[in-house]
Amino acid sequence: MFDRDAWLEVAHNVLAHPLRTTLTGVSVALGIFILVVMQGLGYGLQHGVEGQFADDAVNSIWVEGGRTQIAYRGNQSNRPVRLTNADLPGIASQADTIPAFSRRIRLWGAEIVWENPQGQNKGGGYRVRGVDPAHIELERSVLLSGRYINERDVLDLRKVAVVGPNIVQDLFGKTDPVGAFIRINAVLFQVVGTFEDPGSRWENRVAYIPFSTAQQLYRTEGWVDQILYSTGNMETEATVAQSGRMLSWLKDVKAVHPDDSRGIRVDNNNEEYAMYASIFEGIRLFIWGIGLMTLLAGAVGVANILAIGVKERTKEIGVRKALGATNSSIVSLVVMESTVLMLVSGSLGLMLAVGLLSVVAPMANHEYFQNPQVDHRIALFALGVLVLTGLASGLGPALRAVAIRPVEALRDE
Amino acid sequence: MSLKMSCGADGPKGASIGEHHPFAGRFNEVVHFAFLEVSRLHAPNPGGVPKTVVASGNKSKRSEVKDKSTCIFARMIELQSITKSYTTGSQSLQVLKGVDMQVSAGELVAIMGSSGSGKSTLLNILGLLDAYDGGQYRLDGKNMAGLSERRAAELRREMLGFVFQSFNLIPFKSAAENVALPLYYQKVPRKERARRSHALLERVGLLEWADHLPSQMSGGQKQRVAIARALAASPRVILADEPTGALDSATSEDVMSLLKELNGEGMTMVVVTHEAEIAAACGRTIRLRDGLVESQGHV
Repeated sequence: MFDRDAWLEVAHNVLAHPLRTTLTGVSVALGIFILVVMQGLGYGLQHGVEGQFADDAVNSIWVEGGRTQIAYRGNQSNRPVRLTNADLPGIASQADTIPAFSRRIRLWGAEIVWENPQGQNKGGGYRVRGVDPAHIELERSVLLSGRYINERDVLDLRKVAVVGPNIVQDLFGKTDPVGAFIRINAVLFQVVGTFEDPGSRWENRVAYIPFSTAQQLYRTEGWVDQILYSTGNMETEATVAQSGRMLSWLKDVKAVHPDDSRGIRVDNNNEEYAMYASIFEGIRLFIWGIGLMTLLAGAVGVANILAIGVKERTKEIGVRKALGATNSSIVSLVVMESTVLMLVSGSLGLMLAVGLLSVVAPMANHEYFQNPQVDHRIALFALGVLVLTGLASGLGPALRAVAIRPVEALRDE
Repeated sequence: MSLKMSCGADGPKGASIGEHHPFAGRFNEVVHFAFLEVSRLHAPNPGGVPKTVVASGNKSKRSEVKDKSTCIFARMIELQSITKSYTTGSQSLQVLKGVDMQVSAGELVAIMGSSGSGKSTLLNILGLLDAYDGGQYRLDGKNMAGLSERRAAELRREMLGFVFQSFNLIPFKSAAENVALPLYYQKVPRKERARRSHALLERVGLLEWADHLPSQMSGGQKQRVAIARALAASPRVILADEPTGALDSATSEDVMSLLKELNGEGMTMVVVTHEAEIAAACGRTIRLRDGLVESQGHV
């Protein structure tokens, strides 16, 4: 029920004590402001980390050969270790189940040229990768048009390519590239699809061709540069055990010393992601901690100010009672005052924080810090906590104050 | 209009018989109520402020006045064997040991006594600001035993006006807002509150101070605002605790004459004081000593 008179009385009392009102209001606004801004920064960090892992599937394991550092079993150090087609059955047997699997051949600087209908050549240096169909999931590429490399392409050693957005833009402009023919290092390929990769800009300067075609053209020895496979829904610990097993087995097969960390690399994205996730979870908890502490400090400050305020008003409360106020009218007056104060200043703090974050967000584009945002649930939670604190801290002293008989409240000290 | 002539409280000085005369109280009341009825019929009432405070435009109160004019012995306050003790730690101090006293409607009574005699305690009990332990207290004929806090607040609101030694104005409210506060608790609409508070301030000669804060006023002015506030809710009784205690003698006189003027208009008043001059200005003096009534003049 809206009692205009009661609210006017509340407004009058709140405005009649500028210092007390300002102090309380600043504590509340600051508490909310700091909590919301800290949370926003926490989200910025989280988004940054997630951005780092947007490139590749987080549940994937990447295997590749390197160079040995330690002489072992009659082999000298600095020996290149190559994976080959012959290793595949063994690798598959080491993994329990492989929901997705792809071999990969990497060409770092391939020349890609398109001859447009006007007879002009457009071209540049790009990356080319020979991959299997499941690669799209493991690399987390997004198909934009046409299709990706398929089984048939691999089986038939087709000369088809799926090109990234930078190649499309550089070579084709606004022309649809699907169906067009391009030359990759002078070999003619037909473009069958386009993709984009949210990971990094380098990933968008890539053309994918069938693995078998790439191997035939560029790895005539039967080498495989990388093997990628997904671990599905496996728990991180299980994937760690599996990748460890895989590494030991490969080292044994490839005669790499067990302590040699460069000979064979088995990178478990699960593990890395879990590690980063736990670090950033820690940071987020830390930020939460600081935010809650700030909120708590603000709440304690507010409680103090309100308690002192009510204590100061013992005499006023006595006068009001002598003039006919009931206990409940006094308690509700004090509670309404603190609630109004909390709500108004809390909302101000919230608006300031939201304003600051919306100004900062477009500017924040660091590798590990992107798109800080306000979690409205947290903001409302914080506001709720402060309002409840205000109620509780106003209510206690108000109840004590009305419990004092007016005669004692009015006694001249 | 001669207030003195009307005021039974003026005792020997006015058109009344001496305080010690056995029929003094009765005579004074007859004169007083006769005057009330006449003044109510003939007195002009500028600004709608009730000149006769008792007859404040409230229908029920007006009819009560009529009733009283026929029942001239109406007891406004009646105490029988009131006791009160305070406990501090393990020590119990009996402040009132069986107080008997009566105050008739329209009387101006002083309560005197040395420090610690229990006069402030008595006033607080009269004002329903404090509970009593034993005995009987009848206010306007109603028994005040076992009142709930809400009912006590209601009675304070409707029946009683308070004037304190230290004024007890709310410091962050203007004079007019202070005066209007009892009306707020009576749920009088805002505009009407403002109109009545300004009229009351005019009544106590402080209209031009309506928007000033208590801190901008002198002691005498503050006490006049406090008196206006006590009058705001059209009470039946005004209880004043050392109303001139914080004032210099000239201002004291000023405030007392205002209180007397109001009493002259029919307001029942109980004034606690330790100043003989103030007591002398009242119609009757009740003396307390060690928690008992030593003398209370002729009722």
